Amino acid sequence: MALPIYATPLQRLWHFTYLAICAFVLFFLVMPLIAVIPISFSSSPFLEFTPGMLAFDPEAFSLRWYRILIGDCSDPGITTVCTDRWIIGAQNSLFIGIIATFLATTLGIMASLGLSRPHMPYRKAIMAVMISPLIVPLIITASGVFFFFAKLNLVATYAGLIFAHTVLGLPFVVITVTATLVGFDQNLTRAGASLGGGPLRNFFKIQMPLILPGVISGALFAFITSFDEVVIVLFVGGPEQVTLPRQMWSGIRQEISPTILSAATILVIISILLLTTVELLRRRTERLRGVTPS
Amino acid sequence: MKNFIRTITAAAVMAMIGFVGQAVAEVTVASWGGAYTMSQQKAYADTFSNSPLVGGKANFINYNGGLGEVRTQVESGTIKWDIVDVLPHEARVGCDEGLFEELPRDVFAKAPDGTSMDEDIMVPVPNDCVAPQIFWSYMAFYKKGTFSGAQPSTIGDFFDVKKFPGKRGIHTWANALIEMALMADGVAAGDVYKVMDTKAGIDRAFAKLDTIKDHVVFWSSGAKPLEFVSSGEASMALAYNGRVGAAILSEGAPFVPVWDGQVLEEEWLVMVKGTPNYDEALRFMIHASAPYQQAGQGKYINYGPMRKSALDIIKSNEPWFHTGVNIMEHMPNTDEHMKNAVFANPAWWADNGDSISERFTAWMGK
Amino acid sequence: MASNASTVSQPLLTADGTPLKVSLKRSMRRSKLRAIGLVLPPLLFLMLLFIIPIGNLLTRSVDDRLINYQMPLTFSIIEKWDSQTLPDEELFEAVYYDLGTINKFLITNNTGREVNPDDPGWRVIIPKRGPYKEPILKINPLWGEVETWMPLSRIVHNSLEYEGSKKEKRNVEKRAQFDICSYLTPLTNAACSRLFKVLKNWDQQSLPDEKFYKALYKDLSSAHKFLTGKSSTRMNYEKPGWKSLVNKSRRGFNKIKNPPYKEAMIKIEKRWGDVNVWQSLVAMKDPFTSGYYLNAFDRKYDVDSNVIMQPEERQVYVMLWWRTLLLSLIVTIGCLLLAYPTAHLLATLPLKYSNLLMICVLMPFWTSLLVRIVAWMVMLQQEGVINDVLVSGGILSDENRLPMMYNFTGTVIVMIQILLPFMILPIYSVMKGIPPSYMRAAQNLGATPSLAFLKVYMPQTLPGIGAGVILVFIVAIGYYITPELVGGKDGKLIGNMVAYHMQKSLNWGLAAAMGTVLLGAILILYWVYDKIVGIDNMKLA
Repeated sequence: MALPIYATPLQRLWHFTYLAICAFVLFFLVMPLIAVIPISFSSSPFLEFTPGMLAFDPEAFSLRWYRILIGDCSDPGITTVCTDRWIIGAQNSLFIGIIATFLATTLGIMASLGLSRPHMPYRKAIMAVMISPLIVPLIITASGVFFFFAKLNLVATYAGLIFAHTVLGLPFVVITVTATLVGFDQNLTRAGASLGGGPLRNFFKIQMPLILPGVISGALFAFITSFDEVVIVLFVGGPEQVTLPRQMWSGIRQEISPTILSAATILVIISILLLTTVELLRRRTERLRGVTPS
Repeated sequence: MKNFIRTITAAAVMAMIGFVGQAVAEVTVASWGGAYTMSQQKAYADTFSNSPLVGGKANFINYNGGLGEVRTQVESGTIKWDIVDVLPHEARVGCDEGLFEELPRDVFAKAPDGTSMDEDIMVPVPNDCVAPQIFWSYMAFYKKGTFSGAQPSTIGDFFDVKKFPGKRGIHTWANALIEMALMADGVAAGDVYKVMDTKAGIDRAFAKLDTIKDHVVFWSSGAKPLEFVSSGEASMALAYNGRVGAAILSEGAPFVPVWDGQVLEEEWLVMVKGTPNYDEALRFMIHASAPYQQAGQGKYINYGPMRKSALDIIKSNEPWFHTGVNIMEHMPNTDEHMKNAVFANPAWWADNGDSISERFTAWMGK
Repeated sequence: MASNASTVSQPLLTADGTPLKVSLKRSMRRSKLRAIGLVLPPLLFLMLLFIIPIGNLLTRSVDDRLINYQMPLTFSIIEKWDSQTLPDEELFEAVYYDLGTINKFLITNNTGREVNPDDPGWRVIIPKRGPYKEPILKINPLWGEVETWMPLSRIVHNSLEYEGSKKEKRNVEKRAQFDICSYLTPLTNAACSRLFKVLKNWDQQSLPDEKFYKALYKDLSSAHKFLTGKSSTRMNYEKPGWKSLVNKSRRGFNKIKNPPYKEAMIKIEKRWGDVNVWQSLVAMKDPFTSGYYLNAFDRKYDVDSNVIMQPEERQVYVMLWWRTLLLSLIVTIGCLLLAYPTAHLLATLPLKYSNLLMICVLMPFWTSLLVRIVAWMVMLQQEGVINDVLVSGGILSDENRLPMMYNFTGTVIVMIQILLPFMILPIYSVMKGIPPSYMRAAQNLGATPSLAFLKVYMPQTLPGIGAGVILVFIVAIGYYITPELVGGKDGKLIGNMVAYHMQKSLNWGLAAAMGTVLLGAILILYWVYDKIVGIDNMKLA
């Protein structure tokens, strides 16, 4: 990416502006997430770098907000209700996320398989419907689902939330799996069938391994969507369905304390670990395939 | 693979049934969270479960206000909250629309001198759905040492950015601001709602608000105004009196309340219509509205009990606050602090809340 | 020759002897059916849990039936009124009956137009302390027949047959009381406990006696009270003040014993003498209305059904629509300007560096939205990191810290950061597919680098730009969470107004109308997106 030596000064200027913009953008994307981490170890109840922290005074740092996060309420200085809601929220989010992802993945694979078959009628229209939950603003989805679920007695139930999150996750699976199926050679299933495999066995032995990357990334998207979702939870969830985002939401709305930052820090670290793992895995497959990063 | 899927499915279904089928055996109270709910937890829920006579269990959950959720719960018949802590407007609308249970009035505890509960409450009881909670107020405050010389002492000073320079922290909705603007403009507390009934009166209030428009920082979560004033971002701010009180009482913050021109709001408990836990919920409400429990909340927060007899209990037992402070000095509804103050008029806000809210939104965006 | 011809015209056969054409057709049909069979469950799932709920929501934007349940008699005769002068006795009387008594409930399906004002049944007043049977039968003789009572009785008996724990039984019976009321009235939140009690002991044969009618009257009275509460909320949207007018009048109506009602009503509440109050009634008379859509654009119907502007102090939605549009545009353009060079860098760097940088792009993408918002609060607030840096760097004085949070600016900054990956990724994937040799070729042919870029490179990236721009715009226009948390005074958007009317003011019609308009705009963009990119080509990182 270096400039050729014959570049004019103007080109040089351009080039450095360009690099500066890129650096700024990358910094802009990541910086706030990094800035959160030190403040979560602050001992002050305000969301700012206190003078003590800037002077690296050990007094200014503490783990008190992490203790509150895990439901340890022995801190005498807390003025808010201290409960194990963060832990419960994390459990609920995982529970809802996993089941919704499972449902969305199953339904999504079915839809993609059907849509990729050569003789599917109304392909385009059906695809549009499948993707629509991604396009409709969440506030509208949440309002609609809220009224409708009320009639079905699904408001304030885990089932209601799981269904709603399945709806939101479905498009991701459909998009990623259909994309992997584009390159899929239908002759392989035919070969399988001619060798005596039943449709299910054929699917799991032949198609599944090939579309697996698409399934996994679709499922990951579906899970992240559910794990991060707050609007539907606010509308449809009841008192028991406290999820992690909902807990953060009420924290931001009512009593901003560094507890939120400690939760945020943990989530940021998880997402860094997740990304690194995915990247390492990807490199590993590429190495195994014999494709070296150029 | 097949077995794996079967196991997963079975586990998922079982987990779902387990979660969905869980019966609510305890009383669920939806409230606002924060220090307020902590005081309710200590004064009502803990005493409710500790007392050998009543011995029930109440769980508090947070909500963001409004009747939307209650309305769907009632209309769909899936009641998840038993009791809700509501603002005056919601207390009236919800009862009018049949979202709350109408409660027998004679089961509630009388004052020690025999006065019935409804007589003992400091404002007229709007309907049979409500049980008393507290009064809270919007009031102005500043940090000691912000101003040299004369110190702000009236609501007029809050609106006077020449005499007391600096930013003003105000909330992003219109309640109490209209009343305060008029009081600052010289309207007597008793006439505020008469003036507000005319369009000219509302114009007058907005004109007064215009005078500080350029010096305003807005807040929408209750902790913010304290941060504003504490950090010096604003020299004065409006806040919930309980928040300011908590900062002074628990953290020793150098805040000075300006009680003049405060606007008091009611806070009621109501029971959601059709709740399967009617009996338990009613027991909790009786417990939570008895004079001694009402007074007990004053040990943990400086919101004023609605019942006169509860104030008397506090008065005769000072220092009452759990840290040994005289809490009456921090209560909004003592005679001293009520000299120039209004009780917000829910009927007026029921009529005009929506249109004022639209006008206020436009004003903020200007 | 003949045999030859016959073989040619003979259809091709498959191994089992069926003609190939038929066999192919059959296998194609089977394949089609299999495809449909695979797609059907997810499609039905989405239909039931997504498309229908949204459609259902949208119908609320025109539904104004509630108020027509409340005021059937009034609305049936209001068209006769000249709408300029104070109405005469007849209309006052109609309002008196509609708001003050319960008789309209006793006639089924009484929405608006089907009401015959000449039917004397409308003007029967049931005495508070009875007798009840005679006036109720006068209103609707059907109540004298056993069949009319049977459906109610069935509800009661079904609930009594329920087996279960004591508490469950009690709940089922309680539900039955609600079911009776919702069978009789448009309300689902009234409990007909008295009817439940009398029907419990009824043998389903003997003619109902006075205590049945008393129960009917009492239960419907309380239901009527709730209905009035609800419709006064509705009326108050139309004109502030209806809420207290209705509530005060209802109490006062009890004292009115004889006509004329006009003077008596004005004596109770002087606002009944105000023509404007009556005019606002006219706008509510249609069970299906476009009024909520007008309201969503600061307009309304006047008394002659002309569209006029709302009073100036209530005009806020048009401004919010513009603001939403403006903010979405700024965010989209901002994202584009920042994303283009970045995507270019990522696409041209060697893979081992670009992968590392890609993590920077993807990390916020994978981090919780709320975490990112909190992070920005820490950065942007007045005591936040950016202001601290600027102040300690001597660029700002401590008193002039920039307000970058809880306003329009803050919303824009945070939304750009949140939506930036949506812009970078599609542009990146397009740029990745452009061979670098093109640019070299252009320069070899004598173009300056900037010309080569403008004429050769840029046009090839247009599909990526199009995809990113529309994606970001679609997401931005319906955003709710970010403006709600960081919007403050002037960063709130239409999405926040939808939520406000859904949850706080309970003006569900207006919320649905704004939602419909928003959805319509997004569907158009979605269609454009489909034309430019094709939804099949939608890719995720």
